[in-house]
Amino acid sequence: MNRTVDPGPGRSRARASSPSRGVAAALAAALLAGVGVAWLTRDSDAALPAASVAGVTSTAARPAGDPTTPAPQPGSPGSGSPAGTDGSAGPARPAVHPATQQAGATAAVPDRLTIRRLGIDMRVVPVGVARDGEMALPETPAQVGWYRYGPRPGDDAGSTVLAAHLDMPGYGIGPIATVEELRTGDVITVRSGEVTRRYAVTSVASVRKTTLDLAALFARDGPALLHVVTCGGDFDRERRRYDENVVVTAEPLA
Amino acid sequence: MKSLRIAAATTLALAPAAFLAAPAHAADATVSILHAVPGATVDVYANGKALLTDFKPGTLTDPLMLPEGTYDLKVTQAGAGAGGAAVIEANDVKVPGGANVTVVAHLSEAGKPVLTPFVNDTSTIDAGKARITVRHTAAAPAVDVRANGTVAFKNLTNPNEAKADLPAGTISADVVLAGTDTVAIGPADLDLKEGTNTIVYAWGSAADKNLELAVQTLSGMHSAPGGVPAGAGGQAAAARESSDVARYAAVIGAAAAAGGLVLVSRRRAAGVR
Repeated sequence: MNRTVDPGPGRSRARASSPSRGVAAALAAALLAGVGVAWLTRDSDAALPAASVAGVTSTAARPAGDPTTPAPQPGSPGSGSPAGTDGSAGPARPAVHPATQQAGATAAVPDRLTIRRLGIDMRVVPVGVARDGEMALPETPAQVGWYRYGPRPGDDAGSTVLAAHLDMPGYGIGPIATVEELRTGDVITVRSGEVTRRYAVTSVASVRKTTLDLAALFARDGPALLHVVTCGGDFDRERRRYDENVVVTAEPLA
Repeated sequence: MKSLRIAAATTLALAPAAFLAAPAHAADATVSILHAVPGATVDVYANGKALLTDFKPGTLTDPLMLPEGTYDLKVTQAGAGAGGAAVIEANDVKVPGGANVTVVAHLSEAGKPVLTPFVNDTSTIDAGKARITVRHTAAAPAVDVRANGTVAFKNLTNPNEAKADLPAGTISADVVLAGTDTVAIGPADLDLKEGTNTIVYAWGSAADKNLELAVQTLSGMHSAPGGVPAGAGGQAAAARESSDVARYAAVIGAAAAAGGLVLVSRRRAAGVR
């Protein structure tokens, strides 16, 4: 310390202030140690929120705004009919076909979700809608539900939605909990029977359930995307609900 | 030449659509045409211009965008030309902007060819559900429509419709004479796809024993589920809270230890001096 190389008047002052300097040094050390521990124990996602929010916003905006997908918004006035399978028909002679049911989708349904970096390897089962109108998820957090009314992996357009319980009484925390740690570029693999498809993560976002854009999350048009969803945020013990959803968005890799 | 003027009936049938659509500006209407008159291949004219040629029974057009307005429609034998005799004629058919309409050429209950415009319900359907619409366009008396053996729609008469939103999935449908178990058509499997309106037409003639079902599917009325309830245990939140507590304890502990260490070492240094 400079006390030793500071003879003369300064010396007494230095001595006088010595106790307060000691306190300051102690405080500095305390602060340094505290910050160090705080940094070491930080949330892996601490730096993400700003980017994530942007990601979710663009995800939400994409189906409506993407110029490559002029799909009309269902029910919007003046956009013609949501029923129109070919809006370009115009007043020219329309195509004619037998009035019978068309063959349904033939692509295989997804059956396995794998995220190697997180050690996630879960069975995927088709799910629909619960009585309350929300997505019906597999009871066990060990399995992932695929929203079977929406697009399948490999479909040209729209979002394939896979969701799993974060936790469940009597089970504990499910493997899906770690998706919060995903980062842009991480690879997600979805198997559908014999076919395995790879996706690259484009955003990880925590969104309040009250503001979540469900129409965008479950979009059936717009770019082909994968949405992996679970819960997050605070848990309301009375209603047994979390107040946020964690939404991972990923794009298909060629 | 047996032409049938049904302009008044047509206007009446479309009145609810005009009321519902009420567009602020002129908008196109979406119009499909179904041919449900057995035996006759026809041409269809709108305001004197050929709209469809060689239009066969049991076939349906893709949706056609037509400017709102009134149309004079004429159906002739195929190849009869614009001035040919009308099999069916309907003048001043109102096509309201924004509406989704299927114009059906079919037989009346008495067996005469007629044109009936039906307004299709393209309102949003709840997630997980499908809409089924049944339309009686056959030369036949009142019928019941059954789904999986249970009467779903009672006492339907020509040219009327009934509809319901049901859980999506495949049903086995048949048509029986109203109030009886006498099957007139079917059974047929119908795949009621989620978010779509599956419109089933009973057509043909009971007397000629050629009753059939025609199916039209309108899609795009789907909606998203109300949410994703993906956690019910609270263990993850609890684990995070307890790890937060441990974290704060570690931060405070480390700070106190470091601060204490400095103070002690300084005191020691002071003591040595």
